Amino acid sequence: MLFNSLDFAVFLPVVFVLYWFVLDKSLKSQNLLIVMSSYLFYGWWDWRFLGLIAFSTLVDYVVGIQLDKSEDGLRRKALLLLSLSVNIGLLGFFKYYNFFLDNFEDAFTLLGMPIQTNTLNIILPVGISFYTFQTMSYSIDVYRRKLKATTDLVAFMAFVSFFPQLVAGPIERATNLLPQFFEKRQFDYQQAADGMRQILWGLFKKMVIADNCAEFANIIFSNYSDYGGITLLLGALFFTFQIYGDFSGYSDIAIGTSRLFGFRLMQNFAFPYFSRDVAEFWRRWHISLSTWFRDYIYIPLGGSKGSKSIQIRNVFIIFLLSGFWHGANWTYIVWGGLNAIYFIPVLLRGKNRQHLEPVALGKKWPNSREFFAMLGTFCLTVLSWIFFRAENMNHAISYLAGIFSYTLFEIPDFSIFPGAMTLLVLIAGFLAVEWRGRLGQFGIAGIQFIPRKATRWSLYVLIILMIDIFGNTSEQIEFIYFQF
Amino acid sequence: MKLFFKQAIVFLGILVAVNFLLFFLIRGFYIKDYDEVDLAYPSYLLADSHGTPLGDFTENHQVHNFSGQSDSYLDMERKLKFLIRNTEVKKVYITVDDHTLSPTRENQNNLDRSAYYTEADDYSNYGQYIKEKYLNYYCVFLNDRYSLVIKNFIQDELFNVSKWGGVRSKSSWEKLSNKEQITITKDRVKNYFEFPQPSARMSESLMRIISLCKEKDIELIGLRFPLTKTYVDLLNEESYEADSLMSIHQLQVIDLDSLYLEQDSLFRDMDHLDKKGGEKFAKVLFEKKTTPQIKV
Repeated sequence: MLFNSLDFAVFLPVVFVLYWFVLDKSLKSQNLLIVMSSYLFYGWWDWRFLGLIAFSTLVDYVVGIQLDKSEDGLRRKALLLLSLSVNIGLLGFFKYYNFFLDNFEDAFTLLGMPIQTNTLNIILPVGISFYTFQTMSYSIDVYRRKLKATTDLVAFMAFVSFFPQLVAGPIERATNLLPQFFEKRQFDYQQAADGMRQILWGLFKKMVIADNCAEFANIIFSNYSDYGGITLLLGALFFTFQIYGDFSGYSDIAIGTSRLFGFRLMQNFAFPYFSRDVAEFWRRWHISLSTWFRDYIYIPLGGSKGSKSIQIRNVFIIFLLSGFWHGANWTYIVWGGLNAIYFIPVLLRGKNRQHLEPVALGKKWPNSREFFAMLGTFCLTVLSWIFFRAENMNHAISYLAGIFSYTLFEIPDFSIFPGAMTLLVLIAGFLAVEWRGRLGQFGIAGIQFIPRKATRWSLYVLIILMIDIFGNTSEQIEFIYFQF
Repeated sequence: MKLFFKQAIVFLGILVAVNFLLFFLIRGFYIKDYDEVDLAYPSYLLADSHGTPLGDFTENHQVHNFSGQSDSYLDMERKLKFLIRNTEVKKVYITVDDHTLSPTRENQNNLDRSAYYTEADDYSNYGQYIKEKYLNYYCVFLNDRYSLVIKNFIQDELFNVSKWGGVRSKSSWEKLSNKEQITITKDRVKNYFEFPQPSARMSESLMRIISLCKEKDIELIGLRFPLTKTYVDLLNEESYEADSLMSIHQLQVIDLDSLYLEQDSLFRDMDHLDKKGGEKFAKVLFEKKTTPQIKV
């Protein structure tokens, strides 16, 4: 079920009413309703993969209890290994099996020993990278004694399958989300209203910004050899806003929906395109994944401590893994590597934590230094997205070569893309709203502080109208991150 | 909780009010003309945008032009049923151009507007009738076409780069260079003839129109509108052959697609007459003095 579908528009109010009006007296019943509705939500795509979630859940549930009980270090390690093997094994099989096979075949062919392998026609279960990482965080935290294992199977199932964030995150930590399933939930008007606002902004990002950008980015990336440098740059720019609108839009809807049910999820995006360096960008982009890698891999590896070479190694490991997490394609790995290359100079100069506060704090506009720092970071990001979007390495390199040609300085012919000018104006407006709201949790969070109700409501109506007019309402376009 | 629901209901009320405000705006420039029909004529012309340039010139010949831009056979079928219910219609001219059975036309139609001409009997179930005739028709937020109309209006008025001198400027057809004419025509041909087979829905609808006319003793005449030479050359032999369906049923087809092959000044684009062309064509078509090519 897609957030931007009519199905979800019916599903959400029904679950909401059952949750708050019928089952409001019993926490257990509410959790059971969450499990049932989450399985229905997921099964709407493909019910066959429900077994996979259930299996992953049961393994970590049992492992968690055993980890908690056991004092034997070796046994505990073995249990953790079991949990990690099952989760990484599932991920590896469904996501990376054919990739490894193809690469083995290529490697042997290169060595003059061609081998015949049989790739499998494997369907990638939606959201597998998200829920496996979430359950692994549980096992690791229980292993580290940061969290007590739960014996409440229903609550644990609800934690793993919680429908707002099941298929594309935020990847929640058990330490944050799981305890919320044991707290008595009270309906909070302010939180619910804020959740609605966040859902509205998420829908705007997805349907107005991302889906429209996708239309042009897809045409330009698919037919890149037909276009000059400036049009290719425009295509990369459209993809830059597509991926942000799409993924952060999903996160906004997920967080907003959770708030309607009394849950607090972590912020997943914090206006990343207003970052002044790459380190800041990675503190603001897909925060739940970045911090997952930081807490469970980077810091155990030594983090930014140790010699320069160790630091560089750790950064590369994290970024390459992050790239690989996105998909079984060398383009993602190169994308990760490129970001590591961007990041290392900042780290080596010890400037990776210099921009912890939002840009232009307490000011209306950035100063020229901040502005050019943001522009520079944004340009680097746009270039790296080309690898992320490209079908393969040849595609990415040809695309980049096409940009850096003499045609980069031509005037773009907008007449071949009717509507592109309107979209650029919409993007400019969107950036202006995000800039204004950059101190909040999401772009329009600040609307609640406008004293006049008429103004607030007029703004909501305006956003709804924009979604209706400019949004792609005739077909539901899947979120990009579903494929990961 | 009570407050949340109260606010939600009030907000929904506001959205309903905004919806009706928008509906009346859209009605002014999108629906109103489409909904207007004179019921006093014995003959009617049913066509898509090929028929609209004929405007009111057909009325001098006792034919009411009931064409609508992007009308598909499904829309024409609805209009025909409406005419049968409300008039003494004796003769209907219907477009049978090469593209009219195109699957593209199946998707680019006026079903949102032609719902105005329907009654409950025109639908397979009552739910569909309520949805199309009332929900889609009056709810701007549920009607994708209305959104598209507003979007296109905004784009055309505010951000239309062709107004700044792009290739697809709206200059008249004859003023475009041969290269520009070919580029635009190729796009059009590709748009309509992308699929090898005609649309089954369109074909079935045309068949129902033919049967209905036979049943009600209405003379049905097929009509092929004039085209430019560039279009005819690029079209080559591409056709979904709606005219053949007419011929199979022994119905007349007036084939005038080659009438103005060398007269680009009468066209607004590769396959649409302009106002002047429409006036001239209406005379040729309906005046008895001229003898159009007729195949049966």
